Amino acid sequence: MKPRLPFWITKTLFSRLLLYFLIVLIVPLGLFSAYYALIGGRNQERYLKNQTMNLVYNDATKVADILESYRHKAYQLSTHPLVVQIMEDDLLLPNTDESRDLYQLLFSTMRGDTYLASANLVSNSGKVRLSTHTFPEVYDLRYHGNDWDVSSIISQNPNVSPTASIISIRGHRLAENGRQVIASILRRIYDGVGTNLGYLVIDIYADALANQVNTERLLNDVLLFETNSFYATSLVHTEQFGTFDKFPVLAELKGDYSRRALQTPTSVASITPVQGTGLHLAGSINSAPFEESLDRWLYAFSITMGVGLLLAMILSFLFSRSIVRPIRNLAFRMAEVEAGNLQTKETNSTIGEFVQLEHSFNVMVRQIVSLLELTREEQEKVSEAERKALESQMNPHFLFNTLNTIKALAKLHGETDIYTITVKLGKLLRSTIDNRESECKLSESMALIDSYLTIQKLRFGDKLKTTVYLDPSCSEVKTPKLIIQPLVENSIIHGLEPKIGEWILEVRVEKMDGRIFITIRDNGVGFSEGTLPEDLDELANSTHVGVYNVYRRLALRYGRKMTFSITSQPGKGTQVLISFPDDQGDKGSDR
Amino acid sequence: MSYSVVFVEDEQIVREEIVSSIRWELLGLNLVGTASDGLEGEQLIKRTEPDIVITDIRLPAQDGLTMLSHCPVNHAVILTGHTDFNYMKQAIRLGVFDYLLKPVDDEELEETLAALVKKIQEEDKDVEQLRSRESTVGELIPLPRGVNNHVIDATIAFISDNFHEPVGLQEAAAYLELSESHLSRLFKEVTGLNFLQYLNAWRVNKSVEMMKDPKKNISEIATSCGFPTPGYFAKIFKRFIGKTPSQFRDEMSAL
Repeated sequence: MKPRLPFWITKTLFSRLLLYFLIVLIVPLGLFSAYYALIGGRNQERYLKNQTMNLVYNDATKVADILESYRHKAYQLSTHPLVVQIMEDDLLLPNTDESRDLYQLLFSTMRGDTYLASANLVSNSGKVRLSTHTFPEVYDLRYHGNDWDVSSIISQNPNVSPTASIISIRGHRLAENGRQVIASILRRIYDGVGTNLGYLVIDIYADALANQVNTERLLNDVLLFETNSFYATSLVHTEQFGTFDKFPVLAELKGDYSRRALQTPTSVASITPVQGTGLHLAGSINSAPFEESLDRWLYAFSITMGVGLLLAMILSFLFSRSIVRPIRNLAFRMAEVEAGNLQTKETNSTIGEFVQLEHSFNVMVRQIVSLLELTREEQEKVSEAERKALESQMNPHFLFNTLNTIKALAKLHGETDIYTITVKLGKLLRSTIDNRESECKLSESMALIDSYLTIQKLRFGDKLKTTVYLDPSCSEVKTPKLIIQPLVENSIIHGLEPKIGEWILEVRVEKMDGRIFITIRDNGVGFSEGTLPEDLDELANSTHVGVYNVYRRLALRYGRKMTFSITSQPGKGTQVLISFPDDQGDKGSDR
Repeated sequence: MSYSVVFVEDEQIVREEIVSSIRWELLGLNLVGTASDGLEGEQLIKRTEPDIVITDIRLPAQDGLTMLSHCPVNHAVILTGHTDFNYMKQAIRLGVFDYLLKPVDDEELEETLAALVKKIQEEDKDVEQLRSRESTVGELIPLPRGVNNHVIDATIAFISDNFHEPVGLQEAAAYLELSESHLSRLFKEVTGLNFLQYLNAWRVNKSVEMMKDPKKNISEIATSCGFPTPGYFAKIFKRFIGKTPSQFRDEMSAL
């Protein structure tokens, strides 16, 4: 028969464990993502805005510094007496001391950084035209009608003092040397009485500003723009310039040019004025990378979840299997026991509780086995008694009534020996036939010995000398029935009967230190050399079935607390010593 | 004072042997008769009302236990070859003093009888003490009541309600849902009397009250007080009062 697999155990344990593991996994992750979603995102945004603002502000400061340094140069040049003198004369002849000194002045003022900026001088008449580089055509005042007109630019700024420098980015163009001019500083040159003689223009090349801003490359674009002319230029992509319509991001400002940061759908932008100029600087950081990092985080989260789920499933499976297996084994073995296989097996679980459980189960099975054995033995005894009764075809009541009649006759005829032997025989038969109770008091056992020995003494006369002693404190102790009588009978039949001379038999029941000691000693022929078994369990298969039965019943009743020893010397006698604990000592005393 | 004994046994040899072997006078006993079957035994018991009955169980006509249950016997000893569990159980319920197995050792029987005599003497001593006590409620035999033990108070109430029925320890124990042995022991402990003595004393008290009515005859009074036969009534009455019921009535009316 194949035992049914306890399917529900597998299912429930596994699914429950899985659930618990998942709870353990999801709760912290969920809390973390909730925190991130609610607070973390906003923090990130604020951080990004601050970052942008700081970057743009730093860049604006640098731009302001650079522009300031060039403006100062413009001031120095435009007010220098040599420059004023030449402009007043409106004549510059090449290869004169004067022209050499002027060149020297221009270059020394520009400190040689001619690849970053150029300085240009032009007189109102256009007769004096001088540049650190090739003189730009757009400043040639002899020609008019250009987009970039110095006088028109200056005149367009009426609120600016006539002696101030004008910084403009509208002059964005490709210089004659191939460089991008990104900003220009214009300044009028006056004589001592305030007559405008000409102009000084410093063209600042893109590199001068572009190399100084966005040095960390965090901003994806930096724009420098003029708010009155709606003109802007990129400091990162210097080829991009023009009016605001080319830069959609500037439309987002909606005319408010105060210092701040703002969020657009794809980026975070910041704007700040460039100190000391009418210009503003704007920078933006693409928020896409930030969103990308959020995506990456979600990705990591999903992977963690996936791995966690897989781990939880594997762990649940392993753990539930480690529990289910021993249970299934146990259930299987219980089914086997149910089916009648009472073999015990060693445990193979490594979980302490299951080892304990299986151990207890084994103990239980062993107890069942010994109980079954006991029951079978008792049944055998009963059926044996029944068989004997049937064989004798005799009703025990008839036997006892007949004995009673014999006793009465003996008494009436004055036959005291017959009277005694009949009464004692009756008692002896009663205790051997009567099996309603399996235990009796030691006093009853000793009364039986007395009956038995009375009969034997009548048979053998003075030859048999007996000593019987029962410690009074033992008389109420209950033991299995018929444990002393078979041993006494053995002493007489096997020990004393073959012997010539006086027969001495001693039976003592004593109590010492809570243990009962029963001694049966005779001076008979003893066991001949080598016939006394070493191990009492060997008695089972020998001819000494009577002794083995006594041993076996005592072992079943008292277990290992019982001792049973036979000592014998050939020709000198045999002694049987039994001891067991008085386990009813307390109960006996209060009766 | 010696106690009367009836011996019922169907085997003649056994009967003769017991009759001649037991030293009746020495034990303080008086063998008033023997019978050889259950019916003869029943008649003998009813006629002589012995203190002690010794009987076999297997008897012609009716068995010894049935015979005992039909008669008002206070003390009985069983002598039998049978160890049947049902017999033993029945014997215990009838309040048999001892159950001896055949073949019976005569000395053992004498020991048993001696112990029984001692027990009856003790009971008589209790009755003696009872009679010497002062009555508080105008009863002839003063009985303890309201003993501060609810079980025993309930038992006394049961006696008070049911004394006119053929009830005994068994019925009282069943009514109180206790074991007979437990109730018996507890009753003796608390009241100093055993249950049957108390019940009989109660019945005697009631019969004395009834005797004041001259229209009622003795056997009527015996039946209505729960005594099985007028003879048993007379015997119990005499034990408690020291006179037979009719003597008592005569003296009462003479006053």
